[in-house]
Amino acid sequence: MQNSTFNLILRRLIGAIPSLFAVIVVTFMVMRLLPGDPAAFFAGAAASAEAVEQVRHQLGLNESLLTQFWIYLKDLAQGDMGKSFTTGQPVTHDLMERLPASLELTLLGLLIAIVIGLPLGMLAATRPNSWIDHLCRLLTTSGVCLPTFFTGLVLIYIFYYLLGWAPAPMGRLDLFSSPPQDVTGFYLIDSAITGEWAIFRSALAQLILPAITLALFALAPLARMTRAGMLGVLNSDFIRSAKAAGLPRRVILVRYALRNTLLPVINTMGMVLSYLLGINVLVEKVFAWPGIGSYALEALIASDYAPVQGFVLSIAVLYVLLNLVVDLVCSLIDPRVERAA
Amino acid sequence: MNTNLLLGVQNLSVAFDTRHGRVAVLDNVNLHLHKGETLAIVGESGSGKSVTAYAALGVLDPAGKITSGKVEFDGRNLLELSPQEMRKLRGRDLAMIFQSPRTALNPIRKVGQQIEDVLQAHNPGMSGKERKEAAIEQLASVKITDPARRYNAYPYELSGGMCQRVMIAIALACKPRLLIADEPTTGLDVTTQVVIMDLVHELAQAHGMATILITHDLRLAANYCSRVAVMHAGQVLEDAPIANLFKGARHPYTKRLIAATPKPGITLEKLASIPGQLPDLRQPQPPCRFSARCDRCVPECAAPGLTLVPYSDNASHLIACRNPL
Repeated sequence: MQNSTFNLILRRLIGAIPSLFAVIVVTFMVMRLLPGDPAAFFAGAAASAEAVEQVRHQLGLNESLLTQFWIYLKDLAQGDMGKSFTTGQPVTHDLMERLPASLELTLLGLLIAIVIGLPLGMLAATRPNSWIDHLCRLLTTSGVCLPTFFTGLVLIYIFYYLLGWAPAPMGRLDLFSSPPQDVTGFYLIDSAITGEWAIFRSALAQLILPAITLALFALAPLARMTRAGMLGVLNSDFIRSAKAAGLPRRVILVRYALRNTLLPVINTMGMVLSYLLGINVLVEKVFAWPGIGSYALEALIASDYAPVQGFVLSIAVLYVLLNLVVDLVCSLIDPRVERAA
Repeated sequence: MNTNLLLGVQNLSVAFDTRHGRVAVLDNVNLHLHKGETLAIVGESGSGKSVTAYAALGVLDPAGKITSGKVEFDGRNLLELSPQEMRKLRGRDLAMIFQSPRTALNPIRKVGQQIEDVLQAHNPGMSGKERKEAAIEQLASVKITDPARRYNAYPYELSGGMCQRVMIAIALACKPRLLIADEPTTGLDVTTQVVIMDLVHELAQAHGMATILITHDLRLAANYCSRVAVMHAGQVLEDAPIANLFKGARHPYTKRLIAATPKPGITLEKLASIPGQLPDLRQPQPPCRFSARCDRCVPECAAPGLTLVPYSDNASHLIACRNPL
């Protein structure tokens, strides 16, 4: 058992190498194909042609593409993602500093979506065409239709501008709080550990609107998948035989139906989480969230190659790890999922 | 009334609400079963055999509605019981096993635990240890070798025959008084079919349990049951002891059904087939739903009020036909 799990992890990590390499190549190429000249950008608008050339030389952009790529690969092999021209810091350092902010936001968004979406989907499936089923349909349809940056703006407009319930969308903490002692990088957890409840409240207040924005997006696929999965399972033969055996309704719904529904739902969860990582770029911009998404967006506008490449690569790595976790969880729930597959 | 009567289905009608409107699937079905008796319900696919059983047990699909009738079990009308009372009766007094045993078991739960679930539902006082012992004992009683090890098996690790044994173990865990076996051997190979049927028969005898065997196979019915009810398009057409039926079937449909049953020495070409097909129940039906396929149809067949009546003073041979053989 232990051994086969270890084998699965090892196999999947080795299997991910070609995809990760493809990601590296494609991002590298696309960044250089995009219009925009970093040398011109950093030299400034008033710079002479010679000054631009000089900057180009400093940045190493006068070398051939192949040489640049080779240097990039060699650096990557040593764990060096290059330097950001804008912040002047190594990209690895920048990303590590910002990653907790993005993860805290994304995971909270997913958590809200799960807590609402799963019971909603279940209830909708057990009572087709009831008001809860219609509510489920309404929520999922609007979640799919509305772009996240738009939902984010609407939420800010209503809850900050009109009602004044939410704090200004200006990052992770209000102006008067300082970050808690760094343990996990998640402000909610860190402040709870140290018992700084004022900071906890402030961090939570800042988190709620962007997290709900993400949750509204993630809710749709989760609730739909739960509803569809549950409906399918409830119509299956083994539910009928469980009923014929006189099992209580609660046992049938939870022990028999829900556990069988969870498999597709967990797969969907993995997919949704990886979408959320991408969607984050826009939501972080709207809420001035100091995460890796807004970092990458600013770098992209400045034609700052290294941070964008680093961002895409880290998302790809996260994606690989995420799918691995999903498969491990599925193999825990379903004995039929072969660990070696 | 007959105190020996265990199950009495009286004028049971079931309709399904579908996209094409209401479909009258069962039309005044009458069945009776004495304690310890074995009854076969025989008919083509779609004749309403399974729906009758589901309706009696209260596990019809939500689209199915019981429009009239009574299901009396041990003197109580099951259709008047609350869902909670009915649930307690299912699995404890009335049990059922299904066709395709592989899909009838929860795919991601150990078979032993599935037996325990039934025990827990009906014996809340049992401790976990007692339940586990009882589950293993139950696996042994259906002749599963090495039951303690098989307790931990998942359905996908077992053969179809093994899964059906587990289904039987689940159904009989609380020693019910009636077992409904719905095509229990469909999808199993021929040798396994015999083994499973022998096992059901043997266990039923040992517990003095009444059995209803739902099948389309007349020979299977003849081998294991004392009485046969023949169904066609949601109606019971003939109900007779097995010997009477084979010697002198009175309903034209039964006669044709017997003629259509393969026998040794008869080639496939000589095997008779029943002309036509099951009527489209979405359309209004004549009183006798077989009349359109029947070569003995007479004008009286169109008169309403067709019911099962004894054939020529033989109280055990019932028939619903205006022009019997």
